[in-house]
Amino acid sequence: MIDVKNLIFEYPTKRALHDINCTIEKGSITALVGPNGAGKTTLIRCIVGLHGPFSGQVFFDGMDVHEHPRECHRRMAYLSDFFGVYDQLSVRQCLSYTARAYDVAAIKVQSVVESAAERLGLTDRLHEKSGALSRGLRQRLAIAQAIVHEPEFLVLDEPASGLDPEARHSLSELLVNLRDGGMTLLVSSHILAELEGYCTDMLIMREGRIIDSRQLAGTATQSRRLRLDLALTTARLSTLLEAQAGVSQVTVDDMTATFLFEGDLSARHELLRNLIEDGVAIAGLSEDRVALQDAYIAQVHEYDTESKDPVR
Amino acid sequence: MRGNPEFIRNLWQEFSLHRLIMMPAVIGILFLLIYLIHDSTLDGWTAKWAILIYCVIVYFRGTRLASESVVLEINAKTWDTQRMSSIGPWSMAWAKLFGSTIYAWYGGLICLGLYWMSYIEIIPDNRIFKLVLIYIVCGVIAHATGLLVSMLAIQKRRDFGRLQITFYQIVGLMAAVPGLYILLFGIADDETYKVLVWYDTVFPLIDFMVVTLLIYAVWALVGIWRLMRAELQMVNGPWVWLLFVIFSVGVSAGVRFLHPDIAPAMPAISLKAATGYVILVILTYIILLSEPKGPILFRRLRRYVRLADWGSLINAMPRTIWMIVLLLLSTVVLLRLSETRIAWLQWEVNFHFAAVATFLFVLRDVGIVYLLNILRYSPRNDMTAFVYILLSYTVIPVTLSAMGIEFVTALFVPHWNSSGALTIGPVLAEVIVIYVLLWRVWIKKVAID
Repeated sequence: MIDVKNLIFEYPTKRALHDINCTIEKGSITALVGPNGAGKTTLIRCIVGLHGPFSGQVFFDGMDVHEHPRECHRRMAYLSDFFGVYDQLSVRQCLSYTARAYDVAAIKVQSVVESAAERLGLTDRLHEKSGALSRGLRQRLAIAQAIVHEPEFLVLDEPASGLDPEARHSLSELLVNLRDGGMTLLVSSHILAELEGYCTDMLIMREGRIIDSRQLAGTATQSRRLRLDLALTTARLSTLLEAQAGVSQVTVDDMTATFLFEGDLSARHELLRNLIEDGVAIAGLSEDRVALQDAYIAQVHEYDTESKDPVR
Repeated sequence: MRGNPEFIRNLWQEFSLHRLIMMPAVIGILFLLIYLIHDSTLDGWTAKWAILIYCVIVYFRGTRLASESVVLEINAKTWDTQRMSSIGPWSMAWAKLFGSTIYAWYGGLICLGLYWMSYIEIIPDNRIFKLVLIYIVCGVIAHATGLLVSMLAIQKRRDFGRLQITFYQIVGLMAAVPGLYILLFGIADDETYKVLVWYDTVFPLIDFMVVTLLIYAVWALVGIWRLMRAELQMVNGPWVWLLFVIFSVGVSAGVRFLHPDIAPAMPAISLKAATGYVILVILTYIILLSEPKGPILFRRLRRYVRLADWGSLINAMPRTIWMIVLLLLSTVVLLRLSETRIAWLQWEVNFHFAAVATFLFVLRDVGIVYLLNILRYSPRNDMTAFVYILLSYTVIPVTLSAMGIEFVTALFVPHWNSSGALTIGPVLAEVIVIYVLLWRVWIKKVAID
């Protein structure tokens, strides 16, 4: 869906992005994480075509975002960490304006407005002035504005900041629903625990560079990382696993094994049956969601160690 | 208009039932008071009051609204949503210009109606129509200029306070001066300025004003459209700006500004060429101080050269460079067209030296502005450069003259009636020094990978 190639961005006083290369798969929810000043917002703004890069390209479905910004903007949406809504307008007017501004046909405006309001729980507030809404409700309105035209690619910069735990949970559910509805999402956040619940991929940024890009869980169309828990150690486990259809990248520990598996539920059942028949003492099989916090800390630590290494 | 969401949004925001009633009510009460004080008669006095209220609403308030229309979106963090919408630059430009000021126009049109009513028995209809048209077009120009200047500013900075908005408003108001001039001094009473000579053809001044102002209002709107394109990340080539420059030079060169009784005994062709040249110099300074020009831009240009990407180079190259080329060509044309020595009032000017010296002074100032911008980043660089340049042409030479060291002033202002060495020598030395410094800064800040 998104291909970033050799992207360099400079502010007047410093280079903010250094030769960024990354890919965001269609149907994924990608977490963009990193400390303050790492370049997350700058990268996001380059991806959505709001910042023109010094060099490099961003492709959206094969189309250069900076050569065809208007065509790409019709199909994407971006919610900034510091968002704004029109205080003097009602919630309905805000949503209608955004829908019209994104070329939604006049005949469909009312239905898309109501649909977006319903998704964000704003149906009861459609006639209220947005200036009178609480911080959390304004945030919901801003998200509703971002999705009112059903974009294919949605970028959210710190979407949960200022939301209470219940609203955060609703936001997670909403993002998963949007993904299941075919949307691709890029979400930047400081709160890793909140991303963990729904992100399928992670990009870690530090000092204007992507220091790691990894898959956390499979999307509907991709392979998933599975974790096999054993009741007894099995010497030939690695060989047995690699011999199975759809299995790759096997890592075997003492009592556990993790591997990428490509296949549906019946293929997974087939895999289990084969392993049991081969004498593997299986205690459990589950999706292996790498703890974001752990992965992030480990990667940042590795980057910092390497960058301090005088030999490097 | 029905389909422009940005315009509709402005209508939603600007017109509530309360505001819809309030404006005519307030104007009506004010005008009724004026009418009663004036013995219940409608004449030039009530007309002037009507136009005064018009000026307050449309010029002062309207220009403020236009100046802050984009800036407040940036402050309120709604601008990014608009930039990413499907609204095209042209729709966005006119919707911002007329949508943000729609309430001021609502009041303004009521005032113009009262103005017309006051003059209906006194001045022929076609004349009132022209005057009303001038007031309206001046309003559009003031709004468009305020918006234009604010949009030039957002290319360099993204935080705005009231002071900045007031500055854009003042610049917009300055563009409305012709309309205000008519308000204060009238146009029909002064026989001397009833006509204007343009390319040796005599035109009624009011007709010339109407047409010229209309054309410049269109140019202002075109300017906003181009800046809007840049905001929407669309690439702008230099051609529209160059067309505007050629148009302005062409129009101005034909105007005989001075009344024949006091016009200098200057050959007509030299006068036209000199007027065009002065306009070119003014436009060079305007674009020099308004367009972005940091080290990143020059690094990008350098990259385009290395990639032999000439199309991108032409599009991204500062308009000032184009202006320097135009100025150089114009200097050559001026040298060929004009007499070498021209008597002007009590002075005798060596026109050729004057033209070369003017070009060199502009070149020097461009160098100073670029030097400041490349050396260190600050959104205030251009204002600093403007102050330096202003001081170098005013306070410093006057002070030096007062100190009795007149010859040193040749470093700061052109000595057009002196020898070639004193007219050109000092500024040429300055140009060399500035550009050597610029080259060294270029190596340090731009020519890096």
